[in-house]
Amino acid sequence: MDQLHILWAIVKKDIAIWLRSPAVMAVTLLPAIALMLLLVLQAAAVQGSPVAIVNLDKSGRAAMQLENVTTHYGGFYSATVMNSTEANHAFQQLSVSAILTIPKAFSYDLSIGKTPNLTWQVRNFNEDTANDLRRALPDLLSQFEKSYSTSSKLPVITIHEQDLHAKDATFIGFNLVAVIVMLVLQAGVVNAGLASVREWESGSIKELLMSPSTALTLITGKVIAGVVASDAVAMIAMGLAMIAGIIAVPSITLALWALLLTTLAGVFGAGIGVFLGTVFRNMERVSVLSVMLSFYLFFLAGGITDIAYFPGWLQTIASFVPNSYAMDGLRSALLYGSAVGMGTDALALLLAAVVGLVIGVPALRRGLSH
Amino acid sequence: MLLAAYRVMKNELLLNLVRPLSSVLTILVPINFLILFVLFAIGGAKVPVGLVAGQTGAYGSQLTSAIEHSITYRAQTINSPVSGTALIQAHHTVATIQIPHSFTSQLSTNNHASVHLTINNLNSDFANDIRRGMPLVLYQFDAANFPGKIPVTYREVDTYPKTVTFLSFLSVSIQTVALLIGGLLFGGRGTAREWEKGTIKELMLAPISPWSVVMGKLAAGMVSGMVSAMLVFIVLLFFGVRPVAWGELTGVFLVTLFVFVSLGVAIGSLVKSQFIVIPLSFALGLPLFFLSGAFGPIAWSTPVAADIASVFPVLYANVIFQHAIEGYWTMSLPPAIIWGILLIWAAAALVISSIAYRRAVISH
Repeated sequence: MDQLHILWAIVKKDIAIWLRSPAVMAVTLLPAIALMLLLVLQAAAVQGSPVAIVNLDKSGRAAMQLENVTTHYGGFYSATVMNSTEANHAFQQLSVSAILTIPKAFSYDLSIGKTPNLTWQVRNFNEDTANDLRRALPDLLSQFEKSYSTSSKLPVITIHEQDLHAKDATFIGFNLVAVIVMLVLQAGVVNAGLASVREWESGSIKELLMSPSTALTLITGKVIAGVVASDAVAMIAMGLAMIAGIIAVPSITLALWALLLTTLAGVFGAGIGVFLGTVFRNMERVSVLSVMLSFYLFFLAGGITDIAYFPGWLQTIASFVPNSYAMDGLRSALLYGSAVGMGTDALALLLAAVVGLVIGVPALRRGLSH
Repeated sequence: MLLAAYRVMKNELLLNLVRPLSSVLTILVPINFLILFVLFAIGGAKVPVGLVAGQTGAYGSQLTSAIEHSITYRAQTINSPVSGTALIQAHHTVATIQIPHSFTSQLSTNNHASVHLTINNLNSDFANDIRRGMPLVLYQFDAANFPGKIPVTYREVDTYPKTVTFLSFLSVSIQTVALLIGGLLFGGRGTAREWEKGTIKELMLAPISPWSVVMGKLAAGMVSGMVSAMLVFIVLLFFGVRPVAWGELTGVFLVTLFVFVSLGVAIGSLVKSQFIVIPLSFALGLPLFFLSGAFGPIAWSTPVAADIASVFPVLYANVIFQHAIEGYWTMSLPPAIIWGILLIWAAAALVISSIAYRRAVISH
């Protein structure tokens, strides 16, 4: 019973110090806040870059239809109709990334069965932006051809699309889950790690050793404090995301799954934090290492992409990173409303939590015995 | 004054040597960023898809070839749609394209055929890339097989003879972020350490001007930051980065590092804690890296992001680095103005670091 009281006191003390220490809060929250801010700022630009349309066939019906399809096309940040001089100026000023020129006889050529030829001027700074533009034109042409009957005898190839999820998650929602996982891990590592370092740096480790607390109580207290901090920041982040409408409110079952996954990720983080804190016993080193570790695990788990895009060798590494399973499970629960594969994710995270404790606990035990 | 600054610098560098673990960790931070962003760039390449295409006839083979050689997909041939679903669930692919066995016969006899596309629509950005990749593949297929029947054709005019790879483009910004984080960490940690260890009192009592201390801190930060940033640059050379203007590269390298070491000294004087300097450097470095033209010109970004980016020196450093390495300007401002803004930032950062240090010393 005494040990329970001591355990409670240790947890309360570590959480109180965390809450009262702006520096520790900064180490916990700043990297994730920075990433989130970035996602919000960049979200609109992800859909594409701005382009200009130069329609030299102003009176033609087909040309007007193509102009209309282009201005409403979802693959550009914006598509603005300009005259040739304005478009070239905008292109030189880098205000637009491409110019679509509709030739003068476009509509007439189409009406007599002749093939008109468009010009697609592309600012090919790099493959990523250039390939987006290269994909966009055939796509919008296929939309134009569907909306405007031509006398073409081209064989028709229909794409039957089947989506695995009822609707596409948003760019912000998808990446927010990755940031929440990073935050959970960072909170666990920082809180448990710095709570351990602090005992050595402030000399309070001697008082703890002289207290009736057993090593096991002390270690459990540090780990629980780390997990509580992880769960708290995760709940706050998810709650704010739900209020902002970024993620949907899950069912009770899915919310409980989400809580279980964040808790297991938090246990893993706390175990690693205790290990780093005990081995390095220095706030500065632990803070560098914890931030770097969080970023590594974030990117190795796919981060703002998906591990499917990685080459094979990197996918193998990603399969050993706990964030991968936490992200997969949380995305299923919070974005796709599904519990499929949740058991596997929880099992993998449980294993990671055990590994975290197996690494962290003996290190702290050895540290205490010295 | 110069001798005093030299002594401060020497002392600072010696302190880095006697704490090798912390120093090595700090030097390696920018390299770590390089590795992380390489991971990011690898992830941003082609879309991994499973391709089900057995005996689909002549047109089927042509379509298979168009998919395999497309700019969008990294196709892996599989036996059945069931294997495709298994690959998607295992996160090895994000889509399955199935060309039916009857593809060629349907196209030849009915003038119509269909292709099945199963998408793991994780988010709208990924899913739209997969969707938009198919019309391009079909356009190329039609152009090869039915050249006279395409209703509307187009001619692509590229501005540059060669399209730089995503990784090469990104690596230029990685060099900037290495200078940013390295500069802030070395400038900030060295200064904050004086308060943490209490040695600031000795510096205040010493018969040297505050200016000498700031100069010494800046010089030490420049030396250490240079080591760190040079490591990143050497790795980039291995990645195939080949600068076209070495003089400009050296200039922007030094000026950018100076800006961030100076700002690091200012931050170190303000927060007086190495522990806070570290997350601050990361929190500043990451968003500025992404916002300041890492993926393309900021003019193609959102107006808010472009406005924020245009306030900070990272953008101008990036633009000059792109010109020195790739040979083109990614901003429409005249080069003299871009350079001017960066130099003004250097002067302003020096003044800010000096004021921050003096104020911190007075209030101590």
